[in-house]
Amino acid sequence: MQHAIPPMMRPMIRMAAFGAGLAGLVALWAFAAQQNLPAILPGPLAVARALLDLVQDAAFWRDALLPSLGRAAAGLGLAKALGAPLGLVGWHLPLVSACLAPARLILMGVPAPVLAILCILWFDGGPITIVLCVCALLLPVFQIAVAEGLSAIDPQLAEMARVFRLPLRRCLRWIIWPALWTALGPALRVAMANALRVSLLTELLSGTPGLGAEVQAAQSWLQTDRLFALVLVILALIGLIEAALSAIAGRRRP
Amino acid sequence: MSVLFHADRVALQYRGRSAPTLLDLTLMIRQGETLRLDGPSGAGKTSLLRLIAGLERPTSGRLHHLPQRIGMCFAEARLIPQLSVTGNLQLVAPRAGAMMEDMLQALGLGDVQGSPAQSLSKGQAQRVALIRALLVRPDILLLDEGFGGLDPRTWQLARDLIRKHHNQTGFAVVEISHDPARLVVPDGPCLRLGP
Ligand SMILES: Nc1ncnc2c1ncn2[C@@H]1O[C@H](COP(=O)(O)OP(=O)(O)OP(=O)(O)O)[C@@H](O)[C@H]1O
Ligand SMILES: [Mg+2]
Repeated sequence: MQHAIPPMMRPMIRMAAFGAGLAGLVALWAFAAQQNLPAILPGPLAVARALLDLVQDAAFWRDALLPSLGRAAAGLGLAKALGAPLGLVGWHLPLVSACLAPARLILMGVPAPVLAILCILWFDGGPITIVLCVCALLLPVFQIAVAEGLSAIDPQLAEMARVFRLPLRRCLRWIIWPALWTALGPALRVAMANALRVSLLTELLSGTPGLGAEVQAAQSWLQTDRLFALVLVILALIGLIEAALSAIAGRRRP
Repeated sequence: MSVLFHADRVALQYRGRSAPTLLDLTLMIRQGETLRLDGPSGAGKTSLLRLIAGLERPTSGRLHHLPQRIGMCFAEARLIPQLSVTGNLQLVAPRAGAMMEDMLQALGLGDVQGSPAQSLSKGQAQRVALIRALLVRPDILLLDEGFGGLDPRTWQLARDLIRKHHNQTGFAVVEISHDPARLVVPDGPCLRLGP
């Protein structure tokens, strides 16, 4: 009966279904929390209180959240700055691409925790380690996305541009960028969420002050309500990033 | 009159092909001249047009001249899909202004000028592609069977527009058409390619 629903109502109904799913999850959670110790599974109310404490705590923003976000962003930026030119060169010269393939396969094949441990082992363990680890993990993503995006350029339009001597700027804007974005947009979406995940992981493993270290501290002190609150903050961050990116992607689409 | 294109004993053989597509071709096109390319399918008409446009390089022989400003109608419209009709035209001719308006009106495209190219019908897109080729004030106009989608009346409008600008500015015309009734210059010189 999908067809009977007027199009304007569809997003509302979807949202209602989302809300119902969320409510069900919270109810299940509240019920399970009653059967367990707070240190094992705190209830929704306790977590809400811990969350309120957390977001009101200036030190948390200053010493944990912002540094972690900064490292994730720096790693992401570095991966993009290195991966994009490599993708461009590899697309232009298949030999270079073949030459880079082994390194890329290793970087993509090694599980993230192993890569994090190696980075901690080889570098000083401080913030730089986290940036490098994020970069190492995301560099191949950007390399591949740029190469794929460039391959998606419509050769007929590229010829048209040559015949009519289109200036590079207009070529970039109307022929190259739309093709590039088809691969780069989704890659960026995945990469941003992963940048945060990996920097958390590396912080957690290295004990560098930040969100990851907060998670570890909450766990070792059995502050499970705080742990849950942290997880909610992280979920919200990733959700925000994804929403922002899909909004950008939506606006770019014709 | 100045020479726009001069090929001297040129051959063109695509990679992976056992036989050359063009062989021992000598051709000179001067300003204002017209030429019709004829021959069966696969004879190399489009290939020669691409050679003139600088999109292919000969495998042997020499090109002494290549035209500078080229207006080309490919067999496909090749418009930027997400850009409007006027956007597509301004892309190649940013200062086309009134001339663009006139041409759009002349070909009955006044109503669609704000629409994205991807929403156009085939015949509309081909007309826009023709206007684009004329707007760059070409030295040479290359037409590759671009008008298959036009009804007879619209075809006449397109032909008249080309003739008018050909007479005004004196660009050369090289055209390919399988349909002898659809030639911009029906009684002009003809080059037969192929067997
Ligand atoms: N990019 C290419 N690579 C390899 N072979 C090609 C390429 N372009 C054209 N050819 C070959 O060159 C020959 C001539 O092709 P061309 O497109 O010039 O023919 P045409 O005379 O325009 O034919 P039609 O009337 O069907 O458009 C054909 O055999 C074609 O297969
Ligand atoms: Mg052809």
